[in-house]
Amino acid sequence: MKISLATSGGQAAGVFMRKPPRVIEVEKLAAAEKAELVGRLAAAVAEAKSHAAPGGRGADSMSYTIDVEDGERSVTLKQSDAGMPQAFAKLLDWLQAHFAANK
Amino acid sequence: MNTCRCANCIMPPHILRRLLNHKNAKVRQSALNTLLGTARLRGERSVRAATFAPLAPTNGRRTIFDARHSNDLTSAVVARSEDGPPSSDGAVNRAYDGFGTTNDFYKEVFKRNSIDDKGMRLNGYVHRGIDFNNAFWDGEGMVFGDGDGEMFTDFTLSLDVIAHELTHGVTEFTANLEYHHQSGALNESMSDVFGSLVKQWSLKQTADEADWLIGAEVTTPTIKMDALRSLKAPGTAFNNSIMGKDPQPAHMKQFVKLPNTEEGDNGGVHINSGITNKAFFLVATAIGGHAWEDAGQIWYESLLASNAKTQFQAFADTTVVQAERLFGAGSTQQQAVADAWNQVGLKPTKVPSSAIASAVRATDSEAFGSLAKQIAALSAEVDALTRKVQGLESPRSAKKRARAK
Repeated sequence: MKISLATSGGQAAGVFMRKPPRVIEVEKLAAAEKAELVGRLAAAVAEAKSHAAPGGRGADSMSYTIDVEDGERSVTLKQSDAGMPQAFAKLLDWLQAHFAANK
Repeated sequence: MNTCRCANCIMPPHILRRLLNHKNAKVRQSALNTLLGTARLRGERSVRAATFAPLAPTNGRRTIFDARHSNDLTSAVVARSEDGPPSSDGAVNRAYDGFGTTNDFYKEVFKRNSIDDKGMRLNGYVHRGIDFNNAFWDGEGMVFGDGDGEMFTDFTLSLDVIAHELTHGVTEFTANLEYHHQSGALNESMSDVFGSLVKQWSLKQTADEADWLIGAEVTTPTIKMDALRSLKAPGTAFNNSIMGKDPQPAHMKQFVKLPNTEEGDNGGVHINSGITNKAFFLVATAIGGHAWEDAGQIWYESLLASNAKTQFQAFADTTVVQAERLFGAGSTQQQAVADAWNQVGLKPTKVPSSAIASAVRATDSEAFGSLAKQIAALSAEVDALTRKVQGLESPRSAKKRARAK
């Protein structure tokens, strides 16, 4: 399973930061890390299915696109800063912490 | 701390709303957590309106929350309240002070009582997420990131960024400019203009003394970057290998057409704001003195007179009208406004007759000369018509006059 995180927009939207998405190879994680990530991902996916539409685009909000590829299956989660639902926020917490620790 | 598991509890909302004003900080926090935990921060407008509108005016009461590096703001804790002592956390104190300065600015300069002119509470969230290179207005409060230390640093360090975000709230409660394309660029421009004015006001700077930069304090030594944006010289705030060159235009000829998507910056709202930012800079420096006094008044009144779909041309015309209303037809202020818009490629269409010639730059002799010729030709035609109507000119007299031309 591969999970990628791409960001865009925000105060510096005019900057056009062309950073590529950051990617995690889930199978390379330790068992506990993997379990936690998969659990948060499942919650975020369930949350997305239960909501009619993603949160609004607030002024200077950044947007986040999380792509999940697992064999032939894939799912995309997308939210912005304003109105970010809870499970997506917790998934983003995990991803940001992981990328910060592995700079 | 109240441990009520209020996702399923029967605490009625009207009691929770009263508890938001409780003297005990822990009680207020618990009530706020409960309300926020059952509503989306932005999408549930009805909750926000029901929650905040009926409360007694708070005159911009400030509450700063520590998001503790989470993106889930419902888990944030109160770090400083209006009646509490300073925090040991510099970010908390900077957000608190920045809110106060911005609120004082709007109160003293424009007689405005907080963001909504009804004493709206000012809520701020610091330490949001990890390596969060941003600050934003979520419709109810302001959220700050700490930056990643490479591209950006702590966003509470910049007073103009704080005021920029709070001004999004002012715009939301006034014109409510739609956040895409030209109306969205105007929305962004309002925030840059008043963000800069708050900083200038706090430093008692004149227009000539101001740096006219947005976010200069959130840059890092790692990347060559003066600021996020420059009102004085759009397109010059940064130029480096990581970010590229500042894409802001300073003239309508360089207007950037982008799609209304996140990737397209909602139609270039942070980009084309450079044009109207430049116009304000030109007005402020042409008039001189403190920019918040004359130029700021014109812009504020024009914001109040605008609506959700106002485009650049309409806003330019509105500023000319407001300048006349505030300072008189043909006044120095109105002339500065008309001249500024001409310089950025937006000729005002509502220019009073007494200001037609003055609206053209004195140094633009070609344009002035052409205009003068047109006026002279029109005057001659009117004279000829008048004489004919009055029967004062015989055909012989008319021929003689024609030979003399």
